[in-house]
Amino acid sequence: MYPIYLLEDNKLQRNKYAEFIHNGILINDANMTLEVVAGTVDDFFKQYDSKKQALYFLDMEILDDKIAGLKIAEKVRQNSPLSQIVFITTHDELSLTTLERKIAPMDYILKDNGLENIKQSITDDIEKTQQELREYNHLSKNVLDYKIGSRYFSILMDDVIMLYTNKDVPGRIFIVTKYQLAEFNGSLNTFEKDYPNLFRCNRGFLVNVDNAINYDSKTRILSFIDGSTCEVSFRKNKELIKLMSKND
Amino acid sequence: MLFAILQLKHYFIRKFSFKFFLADIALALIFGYIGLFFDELFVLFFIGAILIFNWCVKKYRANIQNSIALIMAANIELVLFSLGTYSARILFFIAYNQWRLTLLETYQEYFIPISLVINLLYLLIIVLVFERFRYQTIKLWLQIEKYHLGKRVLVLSLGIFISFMVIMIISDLQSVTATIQASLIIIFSILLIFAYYQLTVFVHAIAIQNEAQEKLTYNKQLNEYLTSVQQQYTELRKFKHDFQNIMLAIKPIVDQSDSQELKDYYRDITKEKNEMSLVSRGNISQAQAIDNDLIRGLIIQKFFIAKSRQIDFHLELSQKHYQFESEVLIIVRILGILIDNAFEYAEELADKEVTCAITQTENTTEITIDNPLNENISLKDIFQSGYSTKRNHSGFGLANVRKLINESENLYLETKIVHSHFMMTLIIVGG
Repeated sequence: MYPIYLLEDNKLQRNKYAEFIHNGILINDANMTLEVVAGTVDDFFKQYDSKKQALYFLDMEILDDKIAGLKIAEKVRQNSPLSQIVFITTHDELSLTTLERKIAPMDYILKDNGLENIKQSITDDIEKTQQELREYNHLSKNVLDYKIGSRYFSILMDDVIMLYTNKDVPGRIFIVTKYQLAEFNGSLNTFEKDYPNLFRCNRGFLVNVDNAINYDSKTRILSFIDGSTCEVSFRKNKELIKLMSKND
Repeated sequence: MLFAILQLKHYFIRKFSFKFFLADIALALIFGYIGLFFDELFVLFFIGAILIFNWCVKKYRANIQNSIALIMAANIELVLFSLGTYSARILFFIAYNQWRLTLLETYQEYFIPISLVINLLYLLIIVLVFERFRYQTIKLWLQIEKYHLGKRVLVLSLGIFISFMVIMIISDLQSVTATIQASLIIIFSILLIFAYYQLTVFVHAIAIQNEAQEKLTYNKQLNEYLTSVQQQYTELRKFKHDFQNIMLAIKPIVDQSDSQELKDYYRDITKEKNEMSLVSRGNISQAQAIDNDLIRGLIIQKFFIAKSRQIDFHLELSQKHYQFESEVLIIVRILGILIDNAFEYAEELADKEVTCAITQTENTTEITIDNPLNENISLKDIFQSGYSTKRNHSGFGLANVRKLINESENLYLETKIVHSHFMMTLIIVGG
């Protein structure tokens, strides 16, 4: 059973949300259970199991702490990067961009929009989580990790398109994913070793063949779902053709 | 000699008005007559008398400008007069081809008028030259007044004048004026020019110093203002939070109630609540948390630009302090470009909203500029020089950002599309 956590300091609202979650599980016939219902941060951590992945519904402001929800979410992200986090909050407590940077939550539910709306959103989020769980059972749950300064970043391997270097900026790796461009310091050799599913198609490129759509073995140009391309070195040509045909 | 004073007065008048013209002629005649007995000392008397007269008449007391103009005029006229005399002398020497000073005594009745005419010519030339620089002179004068430097300038010019006079008198007493006239002229002119130059430099320095002072006070005032706004905002936010929870809590009771009046009333309040949430929008006072003047300044400036362009510029600064130590100038340039780009894009949308969020941990700072997105942007193209979402825009901004980041070891850029928002994050490592 996939666990669900709920944190909300207002008793009346907490009971309502718990009811909505039970409802949502029933409607979606989901293999989940509302394991923890907490009213304070202490209460939450007493029952919190850091090893398990879970779906979290968190209120942002708990008692007098304006960012209690955010703090908990940060901890949860650290322990289990793939957990689903949903914030239930009022509009002006919401720092969307900051949250997106720090937590990348699955959803935000606005209290301002009324109970009916909250109910619908909770049901939707449960459905979404269930779907994700089903999909990931087939796929590798692999994530690619990198670090900038004191910050750790994770990217789902399924989203990764390529990593490459630029001789104008030595020591820096650029990463292209379905939704983002980023950069960090490192060497492609390390990443090639740590992530064997990535393919080194020439000295400066490490690519995710799962996100390639076409390979022209004559021009040795490999193209990807986002429209970007990369040249494959002569040496790697055969290896790639073999890899591509295996994937198909 | 009489005419020399007259000219001097004319020059003096030029700076004020022609109303005193007659009075000046009379004054010049009287002093000229006295001057007959005292030789060159008369100029000193003349200036001294007018100065004392000026200071005695209360009306002029505050007007240092009069005195300075008078002394400066006397200074210039002294030099010009010497130059005029000297030129006339050379003319006579050439005309008679005799290089002896006694020649001048022989033709004294011709020599004096001619030297006066030449003097007048020089005066005209100087006036014309000054006319060209009139704007700068007025500007300089305004600055002098603004910073209350009048007294110092007066002392400076008076000092020059007195030293001129002392040299003249001594050389007269030694009867060598005619012999050393050339060097006198050169020394006087150099002294005058240097004095003027020093004055401009000095005034400029004072002006810069004052400006810095003003900026400091301005910053302090702005900070105080931001603190008070922040306090009010916190109060309001607290109230709103409670209010929203109360409203949410009584919703079931209202729903169960039979009173239509109560239901209508509840609905009305809920509507107002939405308007109230606008209050917190665009809360610039948070910018105070940024400890760096340049970056805070940029954000405040962009905030007001956003306002004038009807863009909702949101700040998300949840920490109390943000420190920026290294590469501030590059950060300011990059941020400026990112924010401008976001404004330009957001301006075309119905939802004109741009957010700037800053998070800082130990040694890593992330500044995110976020704007809503309503079309598909190709991530891989946006850094191409010349790429732009706007047709009439050159789009070199992002290419420049890329270049700036490539040149610095501590800066990283991340571009992300999530929940149909476009987010560009500048990551700064180390300070």
